[in-house]
Amino acid sequence: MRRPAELVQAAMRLASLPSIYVRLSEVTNDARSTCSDVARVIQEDTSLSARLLRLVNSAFYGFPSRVDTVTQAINLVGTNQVMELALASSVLRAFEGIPKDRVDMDGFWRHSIGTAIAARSIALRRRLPNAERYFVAGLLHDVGRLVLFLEEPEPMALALAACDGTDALLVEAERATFGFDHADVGRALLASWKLPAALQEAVGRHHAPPRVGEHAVDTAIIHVSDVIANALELGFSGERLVPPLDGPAWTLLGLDLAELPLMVADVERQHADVVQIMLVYDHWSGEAVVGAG
Amino acid sequence: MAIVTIVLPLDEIVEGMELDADVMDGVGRALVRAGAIVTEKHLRIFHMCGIQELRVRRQGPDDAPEPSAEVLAARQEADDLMRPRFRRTDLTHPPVAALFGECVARAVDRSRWSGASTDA
Repeated sequence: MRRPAELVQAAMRLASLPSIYVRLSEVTNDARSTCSDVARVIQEDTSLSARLLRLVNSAFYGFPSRVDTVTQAINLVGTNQVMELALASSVLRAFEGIPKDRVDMDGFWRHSIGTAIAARSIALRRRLPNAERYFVAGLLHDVGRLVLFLEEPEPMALALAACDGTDALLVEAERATFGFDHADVGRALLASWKLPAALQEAVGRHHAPPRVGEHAVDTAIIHVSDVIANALELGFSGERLVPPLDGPAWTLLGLDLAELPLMVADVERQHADVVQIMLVYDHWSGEAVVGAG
Repeated sequence: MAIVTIVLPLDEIVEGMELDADVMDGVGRALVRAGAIVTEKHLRIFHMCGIQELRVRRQGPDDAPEPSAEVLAARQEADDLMRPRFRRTDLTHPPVAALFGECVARAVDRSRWSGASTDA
């Protein structure tokens, strides 16, 4: 059986991070860059600019007046935040080549978007800086499962079948089948894309959040958000049951229980909007043509 | 009369209600802090910023009225449908119980809507 890094290496043929993100990283990491430089790079990609403006004008932000230009969006939302949204948008495009018979991509991304919105909602309530960072982590949390469906379709079909009519979670069936799970593969993929360590850790440990450490809060946010998205049945990434909520992870977030209905309402309200913006649907078939420009 | 906290849609929020949670805009800036008494100006701001629901404190009856038999039956049906999906969770853990309650409430709402559209 191949290890996560080998699977990722094979999958990279189909799923490489679009160059727009690399160029945006260079601009935002350059201390001499201005807001206009970032805007210029984004505007070179018309579909990215359009998606970004639709997102900024949606219920996701709820700004009282219309945002018409990328520069305005950067000024309102922030450079780092726009960068995160660009990454989110790029990531969906990275997986356009996956055959439809292997994975229900529409259901997969709907679940990921639900988790992403929940993560951002929790980060906003905890007043954490750059809540969009958590949106990206939520969007990517199950991305290792795409690699498994793509590279190991038969063992994955067996793992899914093993869960039918039982109390087993797919993540457990993955461990029994491969000796590791989709979270390990996701971490390997993000490492190969050279994405930040915090993101790798949040994705890699979202089913076993650490109690302490630099990334414990980030990981707890993604863990709790995944449970919320599963409970609300937003999309489907292969898991038929609601995964158990880790008590210490919940406690670590210090959320007021009475805020849960507000968070759930946030997620439900924004989900349809964000799905329509991030996923592009084929006019004739009605199928999601994920992230197509 | 007891003080209760309740989540209400913005349309049902009126001046004089006391906020029970900070109201934030889409980028996480607090528009109004918990404990503030809602004014007409607040309501205008909430509408402008697309706020849809708020948690407020208000006086409520000491004993809430019993839900109707129809509502109880719908809740039970949604509970029965939902519970198997939660079988790996600990439903006695307060956040899980709250999340389960939200899912049941939403399933009841959905069945009411679909019932209404079928009747129409």
